[in-house]
Amino acid sequence: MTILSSLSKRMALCVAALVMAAPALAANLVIGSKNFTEQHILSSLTAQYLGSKGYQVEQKTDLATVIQRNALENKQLDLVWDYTGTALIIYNHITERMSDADAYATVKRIDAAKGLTWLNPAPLNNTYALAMKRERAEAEGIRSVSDLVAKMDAAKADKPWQLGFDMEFAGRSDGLKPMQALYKLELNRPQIRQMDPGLVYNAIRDGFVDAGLVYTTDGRVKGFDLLVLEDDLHYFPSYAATPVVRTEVLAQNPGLADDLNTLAALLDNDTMSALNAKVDIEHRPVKDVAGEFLREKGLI
Amino acid sequence: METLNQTFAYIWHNLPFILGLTQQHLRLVGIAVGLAVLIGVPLGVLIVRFKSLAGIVLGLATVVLTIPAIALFGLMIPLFSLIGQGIGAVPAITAAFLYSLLPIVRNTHTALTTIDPGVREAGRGIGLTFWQRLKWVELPLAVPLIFGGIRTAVVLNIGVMAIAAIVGAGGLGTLILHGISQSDIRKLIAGAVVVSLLAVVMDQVLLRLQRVLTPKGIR
Repeated sequence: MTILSSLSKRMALCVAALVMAAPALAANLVIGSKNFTEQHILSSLTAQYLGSKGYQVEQKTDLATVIQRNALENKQLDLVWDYTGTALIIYNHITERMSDADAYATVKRIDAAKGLTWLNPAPLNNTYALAMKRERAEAEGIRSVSDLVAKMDAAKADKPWQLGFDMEFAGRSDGLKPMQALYKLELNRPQIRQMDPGLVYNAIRDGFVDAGLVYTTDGRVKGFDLLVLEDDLHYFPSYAATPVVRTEVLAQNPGLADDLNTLAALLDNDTMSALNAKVDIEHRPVKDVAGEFLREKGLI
Repeated sequence: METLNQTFAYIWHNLPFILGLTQQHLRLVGIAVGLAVLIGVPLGVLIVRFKSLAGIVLGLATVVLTIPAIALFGLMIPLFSLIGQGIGAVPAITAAFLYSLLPIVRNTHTALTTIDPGVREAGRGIGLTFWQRLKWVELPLAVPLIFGGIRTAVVLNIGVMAIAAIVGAGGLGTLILHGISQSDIRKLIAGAVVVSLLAVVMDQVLLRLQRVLTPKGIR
């Protein structure tokens, strides 16, 4: 019967056409980025800057931290922006406290053996913090995490406070648990609300949680008028944003290291928060925000 | 209402971008379901011929469908990292391919096993072999049901593929993820609406195609 053979032929043609349609672009630099705004901006800054220098670039965005790291180690990515604290704790399970410089030197040394080069860190420390609505914190007289814990203890019997965390932090053995131990913070299960990192800010603003875990350079800290509570017992390590490139790729592209170091040197906490706010508060496209910054600095 | 207007404005001003994501989304689903048809229909035929395999094959396909999408994508990463394809289209297509197998294999199997015994007898009566009956009688009669399976697979995977953005495959999930991570409700709604529309439209398109391909005698 011709219907059947024409059906199968048509199917085969459809599949073939779809496979062929897959882009066969040979990008010579694949830039990875994690799943939050700062990473999208860093990735776009890098892509546009390197693009203007004549590199063929391709961006892979929205990867979870560990997925991105695996892809870099498996050579599916050539270059990412990573944070010293993340590398120390998540990839290498080192929880020992050390200075910022030691942290950087340690991850640089460990990754060098894996064929990955940590270039110069940006003066940008996107560490974790607990934050509350400013109004509320001021009314309650809360300034530090210890203040928060004291208030929560007092309110425990009456109306237990709820805290918002992203799933990664809540689930990691070196995230929430040791923080609770250090601050003697007791939390029952219903008090821990887990969600996407980007949702924590809205949850704090809208009062769904009493306090939550934020990234210090996030534009929504200022934009939603949140108060970052002082980490008075120094639990959170430093998270200096740093371009991490496969050493092989650096060798093939002389000048790449200098370009990336130039870019990194321009990014401090205030600059980054302002860029993040343009995306998360003003809802401007990442690409425009990054391009504007590069033009302002005369890089493109 | 304000939000809705802003969402429409967002979609309007970013039409090429959203269309690009839609095309990428469709391509991923198309390749996955296309491969599932090429493998699933013959597999369905095979388990009609070799009845002892039916339980195992349908059982396995059912188990796959019970794995949450986000877990299945997660499982693909270490697997494909071995060949350096841990992120991107390959893990996404594989996951959607696996999800597509059950509706396609099961519908093929059901279609062929529920054919009127009289029709089958008639085929035997005029001396046709198993494969001849399959080609000339049974598969043409099975077209509507097999297509039903394909449509289920397409609609299901248009939804599933929205999660593929977490493994870097792109598609409309990108819009949804950005909506969440950037506190941008417009992107979230736009992504969700376009995914739903796409599912409805593709279902209708395939329904039309099914009507065209169904033999006149059983239309």
